[in-house]
Amino acid sequence: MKFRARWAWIIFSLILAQLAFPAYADTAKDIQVAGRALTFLENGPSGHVVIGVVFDPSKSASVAQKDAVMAALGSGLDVGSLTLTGKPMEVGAISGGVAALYLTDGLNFAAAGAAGKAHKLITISADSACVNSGACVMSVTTTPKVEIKVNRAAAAGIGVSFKSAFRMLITEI
Amino acid sequence: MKMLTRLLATLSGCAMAGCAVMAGASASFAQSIDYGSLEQLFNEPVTTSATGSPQRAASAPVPMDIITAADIKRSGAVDIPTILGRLAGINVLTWGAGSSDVGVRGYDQAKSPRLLVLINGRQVYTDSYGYTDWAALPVRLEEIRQIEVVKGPNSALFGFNAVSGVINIVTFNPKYDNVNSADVTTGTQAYAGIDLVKTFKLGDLLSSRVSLGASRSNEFKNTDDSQILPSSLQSPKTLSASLDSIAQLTPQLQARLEVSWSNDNNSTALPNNIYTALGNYTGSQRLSLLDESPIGLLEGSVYQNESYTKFVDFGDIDWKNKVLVAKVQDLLKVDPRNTIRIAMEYRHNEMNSDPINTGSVFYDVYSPSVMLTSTLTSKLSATVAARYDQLKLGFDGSFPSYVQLTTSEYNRTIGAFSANAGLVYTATDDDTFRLSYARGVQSPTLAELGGFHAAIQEPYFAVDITGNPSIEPSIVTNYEVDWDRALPAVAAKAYVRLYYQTTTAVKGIPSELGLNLYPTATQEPLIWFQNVGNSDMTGLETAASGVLPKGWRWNANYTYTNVQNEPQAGVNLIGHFADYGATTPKNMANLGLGWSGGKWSADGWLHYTSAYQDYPITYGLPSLAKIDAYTNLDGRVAYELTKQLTFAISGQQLNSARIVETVGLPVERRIFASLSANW
Repeated sequence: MKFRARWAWIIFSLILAQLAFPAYADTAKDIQVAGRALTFLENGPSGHVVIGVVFDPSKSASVAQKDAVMAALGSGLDVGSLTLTGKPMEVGAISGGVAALYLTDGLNFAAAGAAGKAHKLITISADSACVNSGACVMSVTTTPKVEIKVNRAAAAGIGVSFKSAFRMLITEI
Repeated sequence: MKMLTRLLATLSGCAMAGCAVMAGASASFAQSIDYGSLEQLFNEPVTTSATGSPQRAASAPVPMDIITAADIKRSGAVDIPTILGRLAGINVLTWGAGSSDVGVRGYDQAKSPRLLVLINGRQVYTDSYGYTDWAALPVRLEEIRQIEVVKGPNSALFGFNAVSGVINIVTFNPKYDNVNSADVTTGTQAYAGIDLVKTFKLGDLLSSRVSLGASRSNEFKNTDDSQILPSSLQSPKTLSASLDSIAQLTPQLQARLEVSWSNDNNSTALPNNIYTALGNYTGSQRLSLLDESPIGLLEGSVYQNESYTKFVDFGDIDWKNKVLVAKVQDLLKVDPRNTIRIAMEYRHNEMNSDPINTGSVFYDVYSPSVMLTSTLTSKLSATVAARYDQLKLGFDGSFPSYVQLTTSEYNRTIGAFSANAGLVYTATDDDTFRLSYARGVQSPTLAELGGFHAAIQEPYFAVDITGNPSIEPSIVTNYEVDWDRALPAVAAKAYVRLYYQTTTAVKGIPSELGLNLYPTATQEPLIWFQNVGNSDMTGLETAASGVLPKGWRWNANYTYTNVQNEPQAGVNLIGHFADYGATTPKNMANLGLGWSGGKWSADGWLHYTSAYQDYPITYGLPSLAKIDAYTNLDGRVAYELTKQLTFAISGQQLNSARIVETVGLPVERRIFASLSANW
C-alpha cells in the first residue's frame, strides 16, 4: 500500500505542477523560428540576413525584448541556410538595408507597420494582435507551441508570398 | 489514356532531353516537402500521410504515430517490423530470422493483405497477394527520415489495401538532406550486414542519394519437423539498391526519379500457415514532376513495380506481378481557411496464372479523389476526403483442366467508395480532441481472383485450389475518438484512442476443411477464396512519452483489442483462417527507457503480448492452438568513438533464448554488434 500511496502522490504532484506553471514567451526561440520562417518566402533572402529590431526606448518592455532579441542573435545566429544578425532601430529611424523588421512588444504597431510597408519590408511580431490589425505581415510565438500567423493582405501589400507547403501549415487571415 | 500518354511523354522527355539545363539560380524552388526544415520550424514532425497535404503531426485528422530517424537509430533493430512492434496497436508475427508480418489493430496473419506499405508514397507491398515482404523493401534504416503509421482505414487517400492502416516510410530528401553513412553489423545466428548510403549534389541543379544493403543470417532452429518440413527452411539473405534523384528543372518545377531493386530469400509461412522457402525479386521505377504553379502544387507521377516470387517448396509456383500506377494531383490552399486536393489515379495490375502458366489475370482501376480541409474556427478544423475506385477485371488465356471457370466470368467491374472525415478540436494549448470516421475498401487480390490455381496432393486425398472472380471487396469502417494531451510541465505527452471498427465481406483463405465443391467421379474436390462473413472490433490505445532530467527518456503504451466474428451461415472460420477473434491478442503493452550522457547511450524496451491462438496444420487441415502470453526484453548500448563513428551492441529477446510466438519457428534471442560511420 505504501508503494501505491507514493505513486499516487507522485502523480498528484505532476498534475499540480501542470496547473502551477503557466507558459511564458521565449524571445530567443521566437526570433529563431521567425528567421527560419523567412526561408519559406518565395524569392526569400539567403546567406547573411540583417533583422531590424524595432523598439521604443520609452517603454521598458520593448527595450527588454529588444535586448533579448539582440542577445539571441549575437554575432550571427545560424538558422537553416540563413545567418541572422540584428540592428536595433527606433520606429522613426526605420530604413532599408535590412531584410525584415522584428517589432517588439508595446510598440505603436500601426506606425511601425506603416514604416515597414513603405520600405517593402516584412514585419514580424510575437504579438498576434499586430497581425490581426494588418500592421504586421507575420506573428510568431513558440510557447507553448509554435504558432505562425500571416496576414495575406499585409503580405501582398509589400509584394511577398510564402511557399505552398508552408502556407498549408500556418494560420492565414 | 491520352492524358497518361502525354504525361509519360512529358516526364520521360524532360528526363532524357536534359530539362535540367533550364534550371535557374533563383532562390525560389518548387518544393518536394522539406520535412527537415519544417520539423525544425514547428518543433514537431510534419506529415503528408493523413490527407495528402502537409500537416503538423499533432493536428492531423487521423490517428497516427511517427517514428523519427533518432528513434530508428536508437532502436538497435536491423529491420523495420522490430521498430514498428514497439508502437501501440501494432502486432508483429515473426516467422523466421528474415520474415515477419505486421498487423495494425488486429487481424494479423501470415501474409496479411490488410496493410498498405509505401516508400515516399509509392506502394512497396507485393500486389499479387497484397502482403509486404519486409526484408525485400529497398530501403536502408539509415536513409529513413521518419516512418508514418496511420491507424485505421485511409483508402480515400491511398486506395486499396489501406484498410487496417498505412505505413509510409519517408526517406531523407537528397535535395535538402546530406546523408552519408556506412554500417557494418555482425551478430548471433551468423548475422552479417552491410549498409551504405551516399548523397551527391551538383549545386542546386541535381541531388541524388544512392543506397546499398546486404545481409544474411542462419534461420531459427526448427523444433517441430511435423509442422515445418526441413526442406522449407533456408538461411535468409537480402540484397538491395536504390537511387533517389531530384532535379530542379526550373525555379517552379522539380523532377524526381526513384529506382530500386531488391532480392531476398527467406523461409516464411504462407497464408495457410504452411512454410515455404521463398525467393522474392522486386524492381521499381518512378518518375514524378512537381510544379509550384499559380493554381497550386501540381504533381504528376508514374511508376512501375515488378515482382517475381518463387515458392521453392511448391516446385513450379512462380508469381510474376507487374503494377503500373499513374497519378495527377493538384493541392491548393484556395483561401485562408480551405485547402483542397483533387487527384486522378490509374492503375494496371497483372499477374500470371500459376502454376499452370496458361494465362494472366489483370485489372485496371480508375480512381478520382477529392479532399477538403477547412479551418472552421481558431480551435476547430474539419477534413473530408472521398475516392471512387472502379476496377475492371479481366483474364487472358485459358485455365487448367481442373478449374471450372471461364474467361467471361472475369468480365467484371467492381466499384467502391472510400471516405475519411475528421474533426480536430484544440480545446486548450495542451488538449486536442479528434473525432474521425473512415471507410476503406480492401480489394480482392489477383491471387484470390484467379492468379493461383493448384492441384494439391495430400497423403490421403487430393484437392484443387482455384481463384474466385466473384469474391467481393471487404469494407472496413472505423469510428474513433481520440484525446491528445501535452504535459509540458513534465516534458511529456500522452494520448488515448477509442475505436469501433466493422469489416463486412471478410475474405477467407481456402483449406481442405472448407470444401467449396465436393468430389465427383470425375472431379476432385475444389476449394477457393471466398467471403466468409463480417467482423467487429473494439479497441483502446493509450501511449505516453517524455524526457526527464539528466538525459533520460521514456515511453509506454498499452493496447486492448477485441475482435468479434460474425461468420456467414455454414462457414467454418477456422477452415478459412478467418477466426480473427481467436488469433488477435487482446492485450499488448510496451515500455521503453533510455539515457544519453556524453558519449554513451543506452535504451531498453519491454514488450508484452497476451495469449492468443494460431493455426497448426495437420495433413492440410487447420485447427486452433493456444500461443502463450510472452514478454520480450530488447536493449541497445552505444558508444561514440568519434563524432562520426559509433559502436553499438544491441539485443532482441534478451530474457529468453527461444519464445513460441506462432505455430511456426520459435523466435530466438539475437545479439548484434555494429560499427556505424556518418559524415
